[in-house]
Amino acid sequence: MLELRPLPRAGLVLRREHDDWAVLFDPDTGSGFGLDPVGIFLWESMDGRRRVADLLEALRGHFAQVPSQVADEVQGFLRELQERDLIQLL
Amino acid sequence: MSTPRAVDLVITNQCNLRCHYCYHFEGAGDVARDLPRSQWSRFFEELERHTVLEVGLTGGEPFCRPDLPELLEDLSRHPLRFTLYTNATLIGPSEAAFLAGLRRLRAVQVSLDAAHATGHDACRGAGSFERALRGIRALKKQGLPLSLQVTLHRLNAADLEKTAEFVLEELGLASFQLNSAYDMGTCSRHRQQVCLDLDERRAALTTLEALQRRYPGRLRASAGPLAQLRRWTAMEQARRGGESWSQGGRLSSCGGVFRKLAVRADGAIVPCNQLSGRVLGWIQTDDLRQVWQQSPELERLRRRQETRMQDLPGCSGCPWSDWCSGGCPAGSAEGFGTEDCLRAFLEQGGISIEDLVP
Repeated sequence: MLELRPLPRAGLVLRREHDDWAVLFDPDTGSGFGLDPVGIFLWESMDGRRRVADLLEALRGHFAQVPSQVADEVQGFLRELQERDLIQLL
Repeated sequence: MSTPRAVDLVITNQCNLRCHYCYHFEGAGDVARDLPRSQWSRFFEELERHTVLEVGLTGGEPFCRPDLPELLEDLSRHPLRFTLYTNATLIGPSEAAFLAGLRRLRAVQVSLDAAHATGHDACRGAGSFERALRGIRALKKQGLPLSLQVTLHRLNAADLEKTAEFVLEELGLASFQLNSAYDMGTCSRHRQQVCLDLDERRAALTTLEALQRRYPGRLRASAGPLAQLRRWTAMEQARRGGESWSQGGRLSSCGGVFRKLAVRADGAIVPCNQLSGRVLGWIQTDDLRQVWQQSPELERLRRRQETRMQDLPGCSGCPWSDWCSGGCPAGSAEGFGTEDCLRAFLEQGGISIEDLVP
């Protein structure tokens, strides 16, 4: 998975709410998906060109005290986004 | 929130009806002119820029705007969902087909007050029931997401059970929304004829209680007797159980000022359509985010929640002051909704809380 390149689905809206969280809103269905600050960072870093490995490196550079299991957690997060049809993994 | 999540837009001040209980006409939102389409379209772009997710389009009657189709097409191009509030009397097969072709239409909400012309037309004018029904059937035929709003008043409250049967069984809708005539706008002039008196409110609560059991989950309300019944029941159950509510006991009302705004037909930005006299800014000249973040009036309304209910005159010593949020402030000069006051309702009605919440 580390070599895959996540691409956000076009037309989704990232709306920042209170407490640094955000909602990923699908205006065609009205469904929403909550993102924490790490999720927001990943979402805004995905462009279809950067690999999952690149995102992890960027994440480690951006946040302090990144836990050792972050790679598993990020991959789980990306799988969930894929299952919800919010991203493609190219 | 850095911007409102939802915005209600009065896209026209024109209406083909003059309902006796209308809150809009004869109030501060009853303005002399409608903004042109170009102005609204520029504002739709601003809504997208500020990630507003939900828009409500109301009036007046939206279908009185000759350029409504173009306006809706403009709006549909933006990544947000919208609800259209209408009396449906101007909707025929072609209007319904047009709506069915729109992306991102969340719902069409139609006002229907009774199962028969007598109850519906009493406040809305002769012939409006048949025309509304024709519109509802056209919308249903297109498979549009349809919701109905029933406004209770003195001339239809006794038929509430029949209305529920008609909407849920005969028309086959999943649910409907209830409120009641509220002493604002045109309604104030017809107060005696339309606003429920105490006996009628009490009777409505009894009927609503039975209807809730008969149609679980199919009656909705954000204001009016059903909303009061649910709120009061929850408050009394919390009192009996000794629960504490994190937002309870504060003058927070519906909390709308923390998530939404409204815009009048002339472009004035207001806290909500019921508070249309409190102008916060203008979409022609002001930035929505700045209004949302910096309006002193909005800040004052938000700070109402710092007031403890028990510190308000008339609320001190109230058994429910730890759970009450003060009701809707729109119709009350005192700044809180006396109509929503549980203690006043019990005292004036001569009933006990055990009668209301067994």
